[in-house]
Amino acid sequence: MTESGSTWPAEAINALVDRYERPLLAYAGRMLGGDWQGAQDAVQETFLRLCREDPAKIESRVAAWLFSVCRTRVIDMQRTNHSTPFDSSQVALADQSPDVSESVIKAEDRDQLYDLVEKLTQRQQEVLRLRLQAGLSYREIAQVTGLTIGNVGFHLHAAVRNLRDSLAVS
Amino acid sequence: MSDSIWDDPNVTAYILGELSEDEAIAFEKRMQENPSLAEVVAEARSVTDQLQIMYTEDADKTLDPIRREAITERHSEHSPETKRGTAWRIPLILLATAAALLLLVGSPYLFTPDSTVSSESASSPRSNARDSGGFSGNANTAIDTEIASLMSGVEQTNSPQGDVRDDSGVELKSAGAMAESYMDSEMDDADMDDAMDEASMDGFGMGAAAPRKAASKKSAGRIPKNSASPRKPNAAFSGQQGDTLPLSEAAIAPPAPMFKFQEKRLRRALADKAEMPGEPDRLVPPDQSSANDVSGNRDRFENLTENAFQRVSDAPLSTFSVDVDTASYSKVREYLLKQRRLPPVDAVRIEELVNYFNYEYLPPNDDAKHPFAAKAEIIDCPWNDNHRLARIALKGKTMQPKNRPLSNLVFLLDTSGSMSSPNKLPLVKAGMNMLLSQLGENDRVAIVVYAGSAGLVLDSTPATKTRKIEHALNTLAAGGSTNGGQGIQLAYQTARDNFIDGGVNRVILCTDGDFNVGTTGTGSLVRMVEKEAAGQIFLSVLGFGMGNHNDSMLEQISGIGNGNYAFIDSQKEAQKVLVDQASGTLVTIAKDVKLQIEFNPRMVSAYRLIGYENRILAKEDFNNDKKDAGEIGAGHAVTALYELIPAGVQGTSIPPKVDELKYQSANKLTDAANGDESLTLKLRYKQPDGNTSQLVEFPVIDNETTFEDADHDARFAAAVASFGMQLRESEYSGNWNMQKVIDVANDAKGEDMSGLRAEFVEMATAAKLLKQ
Repeated sequence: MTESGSTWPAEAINALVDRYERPLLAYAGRMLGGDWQGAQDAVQETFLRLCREDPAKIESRVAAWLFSVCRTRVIDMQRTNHSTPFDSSQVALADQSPDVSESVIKAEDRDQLYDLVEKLTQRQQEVLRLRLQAGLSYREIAQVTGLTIGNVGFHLHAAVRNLRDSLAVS
Repeated sequence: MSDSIWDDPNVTAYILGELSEDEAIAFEKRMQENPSLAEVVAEARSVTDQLQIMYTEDADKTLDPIRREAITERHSEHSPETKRGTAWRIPLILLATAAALLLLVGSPYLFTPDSTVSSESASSPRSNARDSGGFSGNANTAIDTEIASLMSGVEQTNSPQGDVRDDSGVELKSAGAMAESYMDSEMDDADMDDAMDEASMDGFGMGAAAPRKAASKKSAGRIPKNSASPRKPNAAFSGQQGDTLPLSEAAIAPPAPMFKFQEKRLRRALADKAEMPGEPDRLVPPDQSSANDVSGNRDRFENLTENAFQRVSDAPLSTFSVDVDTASYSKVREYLLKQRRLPPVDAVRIEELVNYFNYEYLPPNDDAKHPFAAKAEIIDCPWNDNHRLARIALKGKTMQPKNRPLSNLVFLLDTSGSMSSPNKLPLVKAGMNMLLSQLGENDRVAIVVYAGSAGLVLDSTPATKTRKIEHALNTLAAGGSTNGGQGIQLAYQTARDNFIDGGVNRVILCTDGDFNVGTTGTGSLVRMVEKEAAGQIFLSVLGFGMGNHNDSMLEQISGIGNGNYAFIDSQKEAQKVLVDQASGTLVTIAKDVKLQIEFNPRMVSAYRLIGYENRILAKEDFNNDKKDAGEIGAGHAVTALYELIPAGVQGTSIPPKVDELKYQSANKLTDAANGDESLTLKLRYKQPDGNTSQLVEFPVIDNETTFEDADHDARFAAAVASFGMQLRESEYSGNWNMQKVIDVANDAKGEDMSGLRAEFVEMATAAKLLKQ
């Protein structure tokens, strides 16, 4: 518990888990190259840390806080897996392990788009996901990734533009 | 030329709503001046829309229940009881019973936040008053919003007919409703006293019928407010009959005498719980999910008690209302194929599974007297040797889009915080765009949103003004809490202002069902919907997203609003409901459609209606035109299945005979009983704008058709029904298992142009694996 003694109402924690568990798991799972157990670990850890945090301090920026913590956690996990430290932008994004639910839903268009997204740079993929899956604002994405806001906008736009070009070609 | 325009990152920033107001205005001005820029924006938007949906479908994993539990438990360590703030606005006496329960438990921490106890209450037809009789012991987590969410949609005590009123016309609310309005936190003291009085009566009442009694005897038996037992704001009252409310071991342990528990359910939950540590992963047994659903799923389903066999000698008539809803099927699909777990039994409404499919029933001729064709046949019952299976099929007349009457549609969109999950609002927008593509220049569309406050985002606009509509859609953002009450009033007002005589006038509510009705209360909401339906403005409900879905309320209001209720879990489902079956979704061809079957005791000794549990009507209701029932839309097909035990066949399923009456003699057979008719089907319906019902009646003869000789639609429908029974762990599922369902469904797929039947086989396969 924090010094001030203020804590999250359980409902708030529940609501936050409801709201963010899916995008966090997708985000962490992707960064971990499809290691879904690892992603579960990271996201659980993130929420446990949230419980210990003083609500007053982070209430106004909880989304960015969650993704920052989760991101750091994922990078730490990668560090212990790899012997050498590495740059987060280099995190390998291998194919997702074919998950049962994945194998069942096969919309061709979606698959095609998915493949095209995979071809984007890691940065572009990350900002796209944070924006369109997690619903973070440019400012929040900047806080999570350490990019400037302008840079976030640039990467996002470049991603959209690339996709539009590849979609037009295919 | 557009290449250089593409260099501007503001294009994406504009689409994503990241420009400041001034910047956005300037940008829009540039767009007006420069058509190429507008084109680029449209292209980019199409990319972001597709991405949004892809990411939405991609984010389908939730935390393992055990991990979720760990978070909740850890959290409770950090928030001791004493730390409770002053903001806990819970009607204290309401909680007295739960507090007493807690004392029995010993430690409040034994409750998980979602742990609740639902009391048993008799399953009553939708049209009957639903008495709230559930209590939830909600330990260390009871704060306003939690309760509000538990309570929303609670008040179903008042019947749709609004017959629970006193003479002065003052609405008598159930304890649940009062609790709910108190949750809204703006009640004065007098109201609060009332709430407490009623609540305490309710709390000390016995069983399911208590709340209503309490309500109607409001002034007669007041219990002074300070007579209540210790006030401890650490449990919540949830008065929703039929919540498949989560139960926990701890909650089960001390059955206080005033509660009736559903023992079977509880034992099963316990057994499942015991097995839990061995299988921490995704395979969550069905009652585990409802019992101890720590993955944050607070979907609420009405508790259904399966229809039992009835002796024809005791109950020769079976009466029910049609149901063309399909929401249950999409829900079940979401559970089986996305979440990879068995659905809670009460999420499975068998008739909605069976009616999800498009059977090749012949629609009526254009010059037919009635707007639908009805047919019935009797075949072998495949899962019970010696039993027969009667299939009753209705098919509404079809309607080409060009013949569709003009539409005046008002979308009522929930943009509350709970809709912000990416699997909700983006899908709503995608769905609306699909529906809009079906409409013409004389159709009109308006959009009303509700969240913290209600607002008209788009006044009624010709459906072909796509840019204007799209712009309105793109400015939508989720946030705030729900005030559905105001929103729905505004939506009806807008629909009335733009009423099209002889057209389709419909409010389409898109929500995840976390419907905080605000000042209105669910009772008055239901009455409003009913009144507007009488004024020819119908209501349809499209449910979105999992986890907060107040299934039973949505089903109820769409039924009363003469609309249908579909659950949209994917783009594909949106396509089915809003494009392929747009006519059925929009155009009602017959309303208050009721069926009554009279069985011939010489041919049939007992029968059981499969599904339609919450659509059963009293036999007197059949000829009562005031009694609301289900609607049929253009092209909709309705299937009902009865399992019949032929006369002379002995079976354990037949309920024991009651003693002969002492003062009356048993019914004598008429001459007609000597014919070869097994049953007579009677059907009543009203024209969409009519108030008097018409009767259709015809006898059905058993032609001794074997199951193998039955057409593939009959066999497929039987497979779907068996699938549903097995998911519900029905005692009537006979000698079939999931493999049999898969085999028969595969064999009876027919053409399956839409691929829906193949998908069903996938679902049955998933269910088979999960059941192992």
